[in-house]
Amino acid sequence: MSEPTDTELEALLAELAPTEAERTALLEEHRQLEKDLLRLADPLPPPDFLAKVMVRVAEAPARPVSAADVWSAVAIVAVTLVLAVGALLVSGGASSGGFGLALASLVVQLRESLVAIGSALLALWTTAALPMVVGLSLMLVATLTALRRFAQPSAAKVVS
Amino acid sequence: MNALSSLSSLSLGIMATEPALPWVDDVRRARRGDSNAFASLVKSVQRQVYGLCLRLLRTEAEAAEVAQETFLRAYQNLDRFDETRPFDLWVLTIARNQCLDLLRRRTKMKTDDVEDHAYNLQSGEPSLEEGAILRQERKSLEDAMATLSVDDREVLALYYVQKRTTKEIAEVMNVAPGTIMARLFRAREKLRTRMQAAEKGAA
Repeated sequence: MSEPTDTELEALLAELAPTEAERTALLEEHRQLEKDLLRLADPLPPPDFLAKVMVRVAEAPARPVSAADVWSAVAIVAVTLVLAVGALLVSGGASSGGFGLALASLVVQLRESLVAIGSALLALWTTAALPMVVGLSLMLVATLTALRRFAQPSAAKVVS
Repeated sequence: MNALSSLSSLSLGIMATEPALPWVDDVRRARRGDSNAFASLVKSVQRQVYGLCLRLLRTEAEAAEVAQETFLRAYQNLDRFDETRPFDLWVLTIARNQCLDLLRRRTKMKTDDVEDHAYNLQSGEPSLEEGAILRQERKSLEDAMATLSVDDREVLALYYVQKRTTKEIAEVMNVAPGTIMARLFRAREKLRTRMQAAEKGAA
């Protein structure tokens, strides 16, 4: 970008007022105009302006997730993953065998747990279906209420 | 008299001052969720923000809407505000960008002529002693100013109406500080020409 310099202002003046007398007259007019301009003032905003702003602030959701936020999250996950793989490699794979056994054991235990939970629920349903339905309904309502409260915009907390 | 010294003599003493940081406390409290602190921040700059929006957009309804949107954006991005920078300049920059976005959309949509519902800036704060002649002169000046381009209106409004320094204006307009005096001169010259034409038309 070219910066207008004093030379540029000189050129402007020379173009507008070639003679010294014209230049003096022009500058005097500008000076008078400046005095008038300085008397101008910004108008007041509407009386309910502040109230409207605060209502909008209260109703607006918190700042939406930006691309920068997403990239930060991706970067954190990527760095964590790289560090984890790095640690595994540095350990020379000594712990990888143990890790594999632990993982296999966890899968087996998880499967057994799921089967056990299923059996328990089936037994409960056959013996006390109505209390179970009522209990589950209450739990669902409580969860939805909690989620709704959780999803309220944080901005709303700012204005009481 | 040298032309440049004449030009510099036109500068009306709008000097750069040491930046104070009166907004920092309110900004910090607003970030923690204090609504009164944010309301205080809005109060401190609402007139400048609304004034700039009105001069750029020229319709009161749009100016109020964009000014409100500006404060909403400011609130949502308060965490990103650099406390060492002046809060008013930051908000003015947001307002300016919002206005320019709207003007660009207006141009794309080729909407109706805004002259039809031109704003009235005389409703500001007329002092009691202000005479009818002075009011008329002010109206003529505002009318002539309204015919200038967005850039010209903006630089004149920031420098003369809001009494900003050239450095501050450069920050808001995102241009080199050295360009502001030339922009001001050109804008003044256009304004002078328009006023002369209007006076001739009226005569």
